[in-house]
Amino acid sequence: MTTETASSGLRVERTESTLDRVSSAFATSAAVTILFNAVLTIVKDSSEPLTAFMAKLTGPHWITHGVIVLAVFLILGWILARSDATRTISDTRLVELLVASTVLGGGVIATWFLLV
Amino acid sequence: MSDLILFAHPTFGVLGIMAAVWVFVEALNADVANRGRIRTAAWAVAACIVASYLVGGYWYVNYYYTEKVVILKGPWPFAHNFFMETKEHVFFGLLVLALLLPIVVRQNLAKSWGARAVTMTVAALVMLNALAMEGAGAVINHGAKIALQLGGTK
Repeated sequence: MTTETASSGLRVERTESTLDRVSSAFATSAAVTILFNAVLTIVKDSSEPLTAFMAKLTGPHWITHGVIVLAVFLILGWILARSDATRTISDTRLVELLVASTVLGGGVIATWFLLV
Repeated sequence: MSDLILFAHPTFGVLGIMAAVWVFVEALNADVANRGRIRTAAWAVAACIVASYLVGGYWYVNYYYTEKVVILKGPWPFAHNFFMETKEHVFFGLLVLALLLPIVVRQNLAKSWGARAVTMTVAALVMLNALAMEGAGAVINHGAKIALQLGGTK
């Protein structure tokens, strides 16, 4: 497959995706799930009823948290893989999404526990 | 038994980091010849990080509570309040990234720039994330150690 490139200064952006449908779907799902994990962490830590409910489901709330995060990753990835939704995301954009979500997700969680 | 489980947790983490370096270097030099090694390395990353998650999670659920009490009473309560709390939640992101690797390397990285770029990016993120986990774990361990040395008092 020929990939178009666009140059801007030192940055070369690949404007098409060479990833297959499943890979781009799960890569997108990973980026979304990492951000979801950060949000769930803050919401859970802010809400005692939610923490108690999550603890009631599996025992420790941390286990429930992990199960939810893994479920979101797998289910969202599966849903996206069944459609062409992520095929319009360029390879460069996908790489940027993964880096940004990881940095942002980790940063938000760390900042929350630093301030709380 | 508790100590064995506790040592296994960072051991699997370090093995996962080493496997991620392996993935990164193989992907950087992606070729028909190393396609099998890339897949093996990617599965090694996933297996090691999942193993680290399972043994660490088991230890956390069954043994950490008494250590937490000691840490909070000692001179380094932040070892739990910040480092452990952050570590136990950021780890889920690392787990997702590790599970993504075997999915992406199904493609021929030598022919797909996108697959190669995502593979190398995710491998690098796994390395950096897991190294941060190791560091945080060291601080948590030290928080317990100095608390016990000082008799658990402030």
